[in-house]
Amino acid sequence: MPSPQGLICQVCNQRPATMHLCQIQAGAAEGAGSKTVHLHICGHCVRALDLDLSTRPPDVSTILAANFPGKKVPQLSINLLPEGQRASAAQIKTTCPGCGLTLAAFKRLNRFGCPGCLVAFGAVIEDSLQALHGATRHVGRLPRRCSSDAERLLRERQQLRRELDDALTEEAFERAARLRDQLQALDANEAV
Amino acid sequence: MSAASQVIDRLARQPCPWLEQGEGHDGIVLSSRIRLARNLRGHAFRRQLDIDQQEALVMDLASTARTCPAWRRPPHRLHLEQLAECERLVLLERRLISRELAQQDEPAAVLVEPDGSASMMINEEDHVRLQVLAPGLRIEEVLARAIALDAGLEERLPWASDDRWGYLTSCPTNIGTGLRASVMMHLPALAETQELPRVLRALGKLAMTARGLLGEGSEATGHHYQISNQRTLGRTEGAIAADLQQAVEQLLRAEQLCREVLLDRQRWRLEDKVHRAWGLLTHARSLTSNELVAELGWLRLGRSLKLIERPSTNALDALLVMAQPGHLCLHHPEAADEALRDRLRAELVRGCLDGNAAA
Repeated sequence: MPSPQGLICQVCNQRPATMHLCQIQAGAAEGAGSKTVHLHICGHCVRALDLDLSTRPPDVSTILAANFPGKKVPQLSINLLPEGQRASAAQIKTTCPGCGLTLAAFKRLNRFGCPGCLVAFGAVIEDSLQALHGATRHVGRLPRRCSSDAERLLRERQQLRRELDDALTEEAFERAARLRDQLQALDANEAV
Repeated sequence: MSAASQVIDRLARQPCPWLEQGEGHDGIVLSSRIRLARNLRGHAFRRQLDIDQQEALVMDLASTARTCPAWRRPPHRLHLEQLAECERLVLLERRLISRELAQQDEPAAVLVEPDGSASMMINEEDHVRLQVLAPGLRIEEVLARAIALDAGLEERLPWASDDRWGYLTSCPTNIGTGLRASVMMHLPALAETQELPRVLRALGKLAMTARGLLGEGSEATGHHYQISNQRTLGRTEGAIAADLQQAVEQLLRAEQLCREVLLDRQRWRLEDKVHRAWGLLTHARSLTSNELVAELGWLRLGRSLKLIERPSTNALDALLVMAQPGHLCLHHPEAADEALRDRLRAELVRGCLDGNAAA
């Protein structure tokens, strides 16, 4: 079923959720001590996870177990308001949950703050995009999913670099040298 | 000389791969270019990142992108903060970086194909701006090469995209395909016959724009124009390329027609412009960059119409780039002020054109 307006996908935590998957745990009827699992998800993540929603209701608990093994499902997020405060419908559409850029700031700068801004503001600025491009829907290429190896390597590189920065700040130069060597080894292994 | 400076020095001495060409299209279409804008998923753009975050992003992108096998040869890796101002200008004059990247203080890098035919800017307005250049009218060929590079990169870097909005970019004018396709053209006859404003207005109906030699914000010195697509959303990459091809072919026919008319009715006028240009360039003791580009434009026209037999097109192409401020400064660091550079430029031009006297 469609997700309510304003909810962010619990998988990517970036795009607006368009589908609400829910499943009553097998063997129990709701309201009689059973557990219902919910997942709000966007179309992009449905594709990315290869979910086939067309033939039968998905097994939500299996999806959750596969994608969030041993961890809590990320909280539903609407925007950057402190916990406990509910965002107004207007606010949901006017602040990017990814970077906090407001719609007003976007209009002033004519620049987005992060890749999530367009997804957040798209519905609101649709008319101006229509005027700019004569269209509001992409029909060209889209990236194939980046291989998990490549994503892992990129994360590894980013992690090493963070640790190197920390080591330098703490003046732990031996550790820093080891980390630098590890980074260089990564570069060397990947060199064309 | 640092490693980076050596790279720049080598690049600056090479002919420009996006200019050297035969006499196709009467010298009216000079070069083709494709630019793709891409951003890393889960990372904000430059404005929302602090310097440390930007530096980390630049290092990660540069290291990873370099391994893409679609580069013809392993690309040079240049970090902009290590380059002097004239070295950055050399890259700009070779169209390997934008004016924005050349002037920005924030961390930035560029990967450059050793033959100078492609480059990848890192941490400009978008995380990555990939571009490929070729001489003459070769939009489809350049697009194919840019897509091949992009396909190689997307296996290593998770690009931010959305099913509805396409590639997600910093500026709303680039969303969707993130594609800017452009062709550089020389249109002196259209300008001389006052037809150019009408023709350029008609470009708007095809959703194309015209800009000067060095892109956004530059003037159309020497009647050189960059024709490019305005819209990036709602058309496929192939369709945008086809639209540009159509617009260029229309402009090409219009320019050829105007040249025929001028030759037929006012040959003397053209000959006068061309020979004045020859006179000035072979005798002036001081030339500004703009003067040079303007007069080279007339010589190019003169060659195309066979009004003059010299200089060779290669000499014209070489001068168009080598006499630019960055290139001059690089080889003559003593030319600190503009007046001295203008005299050096004139000397370089006289030397080059005298050498072409027997061509």
